Amino acid sequence: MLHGSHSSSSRQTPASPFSGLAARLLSGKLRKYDWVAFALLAPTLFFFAVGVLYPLLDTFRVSFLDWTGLSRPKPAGLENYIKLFADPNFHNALRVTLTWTLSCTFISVAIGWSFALMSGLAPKATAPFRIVIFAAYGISETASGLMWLGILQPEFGLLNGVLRAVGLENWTNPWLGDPDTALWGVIAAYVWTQAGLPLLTCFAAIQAIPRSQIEAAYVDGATNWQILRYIMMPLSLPGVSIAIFINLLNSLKAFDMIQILTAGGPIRATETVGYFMYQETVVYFKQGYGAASTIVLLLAIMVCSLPLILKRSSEAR
Amino acid sequence: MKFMVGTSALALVASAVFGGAAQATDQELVIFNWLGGSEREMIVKLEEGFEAKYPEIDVKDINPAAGGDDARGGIRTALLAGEKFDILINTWPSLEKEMVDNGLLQPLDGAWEQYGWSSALSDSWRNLSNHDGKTYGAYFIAGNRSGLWHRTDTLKGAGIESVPTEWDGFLASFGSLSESGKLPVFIGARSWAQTEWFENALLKTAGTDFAGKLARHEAKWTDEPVKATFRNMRDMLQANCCADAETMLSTHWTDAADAVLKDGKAGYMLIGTWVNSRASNEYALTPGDDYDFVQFPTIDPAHADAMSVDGKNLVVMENAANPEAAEKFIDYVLSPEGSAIIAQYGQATPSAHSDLSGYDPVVAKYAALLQSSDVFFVLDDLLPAELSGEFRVSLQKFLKDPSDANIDAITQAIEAKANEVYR
Repeated sequence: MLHGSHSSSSRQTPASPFSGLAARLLSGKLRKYDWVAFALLAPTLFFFAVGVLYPLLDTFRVSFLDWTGLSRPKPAGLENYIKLFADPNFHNALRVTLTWTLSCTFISVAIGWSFALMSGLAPKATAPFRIVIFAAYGISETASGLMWLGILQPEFGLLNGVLRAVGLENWTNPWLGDPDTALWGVIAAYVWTQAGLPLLTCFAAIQAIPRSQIEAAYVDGATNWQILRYIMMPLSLPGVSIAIFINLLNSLKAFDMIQILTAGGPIRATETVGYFMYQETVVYFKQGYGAASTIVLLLAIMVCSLPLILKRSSEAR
Repeated sequence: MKFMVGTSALALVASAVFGGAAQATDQELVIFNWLGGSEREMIVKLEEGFEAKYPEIDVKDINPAAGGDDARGGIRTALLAGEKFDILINTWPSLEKEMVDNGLLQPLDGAWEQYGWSSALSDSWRNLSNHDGKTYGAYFIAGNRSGLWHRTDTLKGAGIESVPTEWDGFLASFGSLSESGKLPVFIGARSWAQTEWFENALLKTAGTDFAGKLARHEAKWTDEPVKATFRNMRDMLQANCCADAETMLSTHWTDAADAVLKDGKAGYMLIGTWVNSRASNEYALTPGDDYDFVQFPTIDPAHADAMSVDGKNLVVMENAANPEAAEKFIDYVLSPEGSAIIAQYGQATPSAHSDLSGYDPVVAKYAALLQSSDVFFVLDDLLPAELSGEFRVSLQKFLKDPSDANIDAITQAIEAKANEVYR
């Protein structure tokens, strides 16, 4: 019954992002048995309200206060937002976040998609490699961060050790202490943990391509490259878009890796908006100011994710 | 405090993390202990000694679950979450002032007279916790933050019989250390340890009065003594004291301790006296024989006896469920029994009830210095956390570029932040 009403509602309001139950709720045309759906949704809605909506609304409220956490809160109006957009450290955090998010997402997805395409040509032979690459995604960022700290340390680090061993002494560098290379060091470590997910989603999309289509191409004399270029690449794009979406959100929220490897330094070279928010709220305890930066980060995440969410829900209908 | 509780998501999260507020009873003393390592063990030992002396009182030791590198975050989160405790261990005068201003602490003047704590703590130590004419804390640990730590065999190998006590001689000794294959000075500047060098150079350049004015923002960060301090530090960098800036910015004070005291790869490090416990317990070195410290060298003879110190005190919360037990605990910590426990852990106490013969030679040396020097509380701990953050990053910028133009730029940046924070 619910399925039928869903289709019916979609036909009635094709341009609306809402459909089915949501559309009927908004239009005030609820049906007799819709209460069943609401009852089933109730636990989720309750925990969403307590765990997400209330903190979100409260953070929004606090963003208009001048409050250190120990003092009595004072109304600050828009002052926190005005100061935030005039703060050179916040400008720096925005620049770092842009570089960080785009680089992490692009490189992770590029690596994951490339490996998925190569694996698509020989799925059985490459299975162990896929498992190994995806395993990194399952390791906690803290553990990965500590491992990469060992790799990137100036004196005893693995990277500098290898460079010295192969006679490239001049290439050695205190990677995480140099403001020019620190962000790229953290990006390398983060990409290592994140590339497994695009591999998984893209490979799943490739696996969904009908076998007959690829066999027909072989029969017609297509080369591996042509199959890769003209069949697998275009037909795996849904997997790529999911990977971009998840990696983009993950990298916007990233904190552990930055905290472990550089703690936002040196000289704020790796201070993303997320890390800036942590510093202002937890370290300096400027609750209102930190909340304002949280709201800005939230808006950034929504701007990035909303188009894709709407697209996915539209496809789902 | 009611308005704080339940007003923010942070409070909810913190409450969950802490696993519920401690339930204080008349016979329970709740102590918020954020210390780690051997210092934490020392507090637990003091609590055990107190319970043995006062069996009717149970001590509950609770710890913060958040805060990262700076425990102030964990303390604030606990307070914001409505956590109830009787005693807080504090080491930041700026945080103490903020808590006093917001009515979170009880004055201790009554207890001070009742228990006669003046026989244990001098007025100068009492004054460190004086706000608006009332005393809010009792110091029980004091540390030297002006010690240049070194291995005796490292200096001997470089032909340095005694560490020069004058700045120029100190800089000249870098050549001997370099020739013996050692890095003269290790500064781990990834987080905050670079501030130790600036603060000591400031005290020896401009004295404790100026440093006090700077901490209260009665002097400006763009004033000449601050710039002179930076230029003195630049002289040290130009004398090839250290690794390149990038290496300094990627290492911690713990790396410095390993390089100087454990591995003997570098000559000197400047850090608080907690490294004494690390050297003797973790590196199995003998204090005074294998390693030692000398005071930061004199720059301006007028400020030769200036000394940077830190300390930890015990403060009693305004909403303490058992303030009488809290005062008894403070009295116990300052007593000969408490002081003896503190000495066992290689820490010095400013309590006159301590027996100097119970200290190892290194602790005895700085305990004596605490009495004879012109002491000044460590500057970074006097600054509000936000200004401290700007101060630390500015010093990192200085290590990367010690030019006059950059000195002007960074002193202006700290001054701008100070104007914002002290408005």
